[in-house]
Amino acid sequence: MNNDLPRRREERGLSQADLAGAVDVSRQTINAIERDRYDPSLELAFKLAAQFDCRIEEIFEPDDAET
Amino acid sequence: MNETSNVLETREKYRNWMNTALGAGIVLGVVGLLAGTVLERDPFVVLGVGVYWLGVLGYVAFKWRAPVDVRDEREARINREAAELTLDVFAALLIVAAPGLTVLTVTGVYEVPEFYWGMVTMLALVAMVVGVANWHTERKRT
Repeated sequence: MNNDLPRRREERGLSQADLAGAVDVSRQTINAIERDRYDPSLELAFKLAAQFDCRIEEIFEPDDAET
Repeated sequence: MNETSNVLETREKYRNWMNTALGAGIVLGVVGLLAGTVLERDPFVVLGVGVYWLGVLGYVAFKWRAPVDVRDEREARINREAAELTLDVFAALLIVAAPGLTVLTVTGVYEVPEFYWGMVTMLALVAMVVGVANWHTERKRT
């Protein structure tokens, strides 16, 4: 799954640790999501969407959408 | 936005306690074992094992009593995937070893040492426990 988390995070001037603290996961988890190494649970995806005042599908995009 | 939330602080705190309990249990357990062996005093060995078990108990107790999950979801998934991989290796070993050792024994080509039969029995037990755990989990999720 692709995502534009790094762009949104940087726009807000947040570090990975800041965002991690806001959604109760480790910094490594945010890093793994940003590098497409880990797909978050629905619960975490909702938390991230809430942080950026948007819908989940605005942050995350399935790999199929590329084709 | 706080850099570190209460959840993360609590998680870290409990993880530290868990690791301290386990680490102390292992170190003191080894010290007891060594002291008992060198000094030829059995009570030290028994005491060492007791302290080791207490350490493990402390680890489990802190994990159990933690008000938050001590691992975040990615760490939990890593743990699940590692467990799956381990079970795959165990299953492959059981699939190869059980009939292989049986053939060797029945044909009399090689007298398989008891150790290997013990290993196969253990692997079969693990497979049974996995089956029961799977059945239990499926009931919970259905």
